[in-house]
Amino acid sequence: MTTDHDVIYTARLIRTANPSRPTAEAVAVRDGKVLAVGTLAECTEWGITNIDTRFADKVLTAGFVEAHAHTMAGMYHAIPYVGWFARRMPDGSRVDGVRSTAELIERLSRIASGTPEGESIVVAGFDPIYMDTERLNRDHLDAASTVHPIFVFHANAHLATVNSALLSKHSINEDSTAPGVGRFDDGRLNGELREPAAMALARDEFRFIGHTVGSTETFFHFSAAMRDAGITTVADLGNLFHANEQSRQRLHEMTVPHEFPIRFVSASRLGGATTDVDTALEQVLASRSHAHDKLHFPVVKLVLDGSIQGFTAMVSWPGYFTGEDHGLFLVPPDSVVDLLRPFHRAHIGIHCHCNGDLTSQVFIDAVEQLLSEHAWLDHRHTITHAQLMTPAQMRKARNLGMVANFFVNHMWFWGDQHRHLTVGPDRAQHLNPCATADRIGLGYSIHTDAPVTPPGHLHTMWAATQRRTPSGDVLGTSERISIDRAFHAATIDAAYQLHMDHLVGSLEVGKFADMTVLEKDPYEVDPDDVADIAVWGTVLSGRPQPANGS
Amino acid sequence: MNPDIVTHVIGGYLGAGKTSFVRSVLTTTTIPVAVIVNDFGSINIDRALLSRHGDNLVEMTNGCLCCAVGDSLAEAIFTIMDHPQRPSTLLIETSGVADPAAVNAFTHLPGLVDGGTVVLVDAANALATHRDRRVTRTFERQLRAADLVAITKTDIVEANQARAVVDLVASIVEDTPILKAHPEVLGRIVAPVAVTTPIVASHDEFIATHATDFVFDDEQALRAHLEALPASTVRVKGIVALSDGSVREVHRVGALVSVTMSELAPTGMIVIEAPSTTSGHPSRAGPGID
Repeated sequence: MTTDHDVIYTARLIRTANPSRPTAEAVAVRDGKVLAVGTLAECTEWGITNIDTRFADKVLTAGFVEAHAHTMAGMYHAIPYVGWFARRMPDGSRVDGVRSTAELIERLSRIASGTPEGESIVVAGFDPIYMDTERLNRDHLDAASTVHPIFVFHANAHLATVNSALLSKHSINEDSTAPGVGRFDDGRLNGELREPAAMALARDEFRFIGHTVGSTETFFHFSAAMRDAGITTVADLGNLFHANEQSRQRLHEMTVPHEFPIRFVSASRLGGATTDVDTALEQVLASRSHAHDKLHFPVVKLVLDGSIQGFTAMVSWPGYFTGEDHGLFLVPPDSVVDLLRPFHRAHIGIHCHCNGDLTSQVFIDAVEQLLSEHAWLDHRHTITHAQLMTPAQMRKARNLGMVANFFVNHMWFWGDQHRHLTVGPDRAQHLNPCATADRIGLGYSIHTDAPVTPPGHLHTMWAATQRRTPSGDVLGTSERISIDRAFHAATIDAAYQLHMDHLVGSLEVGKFADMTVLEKDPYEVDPDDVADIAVWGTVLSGRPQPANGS
Repeated sequence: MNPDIVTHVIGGYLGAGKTSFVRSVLTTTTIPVAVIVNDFGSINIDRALLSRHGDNLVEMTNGCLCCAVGDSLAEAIFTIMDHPQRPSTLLIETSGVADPAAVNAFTHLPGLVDGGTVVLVDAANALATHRDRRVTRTFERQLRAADLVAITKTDIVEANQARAVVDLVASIVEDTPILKAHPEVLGRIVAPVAVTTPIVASHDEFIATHATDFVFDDEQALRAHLEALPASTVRVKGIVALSDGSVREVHRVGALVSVTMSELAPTGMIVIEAPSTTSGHPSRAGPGID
């Protein structure tokens, strides 16, 4: 018996991410769920006559699942993006990369010409790590405008460069004793504000960034950016929505409407500022009472170290290849078990940011301890980023039932820097070791950490299969995986580590009818062209969600 | 023009007693202070002492403000500075592995003045923490940020261990005053209480002298006086008058002196010393350190 909402979508090809039925030509949908997958004839045996052929010339896949991104990725609607690599904006438009100081000045001048005098200009994502040119300073920015305070927030989030108008607006002058206020050799201020304490001197502009990151508009632009990149389920890995009833309610209200185009996983952030774990657990459990089809609370997030390219990951001997080791733990390693215990006991999954291998070891050992105390066998605790995991660590993690989420996009975005600056020619080849994980039997997914790298799984799949750097190097040919393996890492394996593999991640009867709609088949294009496949949009709970500009 | 808020960073590794210390300040102070903490739960203020509970900010019946860091320390600081009940003192409790110097950098914001960083050290665990190579650098960096180091829990460890901890700290920070104190006593020492409140019990090994008769010619003379106090001075606080009738709030933590405008009535100055040693290390102030 059919209902009004029954529909069969046909496509040139459907990739299900279900190895027992990897491809199909039609999918039947009822009440937002997969009713059947197979040939058109098999699907029509359910008596459905509503056959939707809009995707007849497209490729449908199981909806991509992103297990590590941030709502901050939606901030570019209010804060212009000035990074190195071209990016797609939430409204569908494309922004070229900024490849030099001159290009930045030109971009800022254009913004200034449309901004009332005296009003601040705040831009973000500037990344000089790729540039050979003179370090950005206030004189460069003065060339863009002397009548608008300009605040350029760097991609690393630890540095801002400002112009003279901003310095004088906030009375920051040569007498300043504040640490982090940069100077030229002659003592004159150079416009650099290093670390939050110095950036906070530019009070209005710095607060503007914080408020924008946390705003409702940014939240919606984030969801649009994810949909446009073909993502159907995404984990915002590390937020404070759980902290009070008002924000819990707000999150519920933002995600309920039909128009909200993604399935949102909210992972509460622990550690650092949170030392009262029992209250945090109560708050996470209170969050769960607000869950619905598009809002889930399966895991929590802990950040344990910094980044490799920032030299703040905890890396074992022989340490960093060049530069100074500023590795740090963000939480005392001995306190990790106590911090995580209540969540493990409550059967809430834990995703832990570990970039360095010393950091992964702390988390692995903590999980071993937690398991010996309380045998939650299906925990799936996840080492996220996991860039420098060793084979020994991968074997132990596998034994403990853990999984990894590899930051494969680093092979492209920072591959040359890792090879030449951070970890050197040998270790660089073993970063994000997907193939070794396969050989050892450690499960894993792959992620973008958007906005750190742009949203979208076509790029992660390309990076995992090709491991190519901008200079043309391939870092670790024996860690390349097949497109089929990468596709599963971007779908069902991501769902698995979010404890949602019974709901999403593959097209199977009873699961949500979530699909990614592509113009081409990733298995069929030239391997180097996977990242360029156009995304039409998604289907969420059976409803088509075209991308902006589609 | 509001006077600058005297800001103390409270640092130290996990378990050193930072939270007990902050709680002690909040419950014993007679002058409203603001504190920024990691989260409210760990502070555990008696419900009876709360007058208003917002999401990130708690107001106490004694006028104290307590703000949780949440996403941004800068935002918490601005919240305190913008609050109508503008306090004259702010304590910022850091997390267990934070570098207090990085937090201290915020005291350069307009509206704040650095009143001195206090770093607590747990005598029961300090040696093991320092030996753990994953955190050695963190531990040492915290000590180097201190204007005053307070070693806690010396009463529950063997005398040998207490001595070893003092020696370790002294070897890392050669010129910084070190004292041994229970976090609650430390709270009473650091809190900007009115000088008529008893600071230390008779059995404590600190000497608190209270002087009310000063009037200083000018700020320069006041600073000179504060800086010239003996090296065994670990803490000074007071509200003193200048000869032009204006009033200053004064603080000294370790060797760091801060002087700010005050609208309160002058009540004098209290100087807290730890008995100096006989061994020719005048900066090593504290009972039993020789």
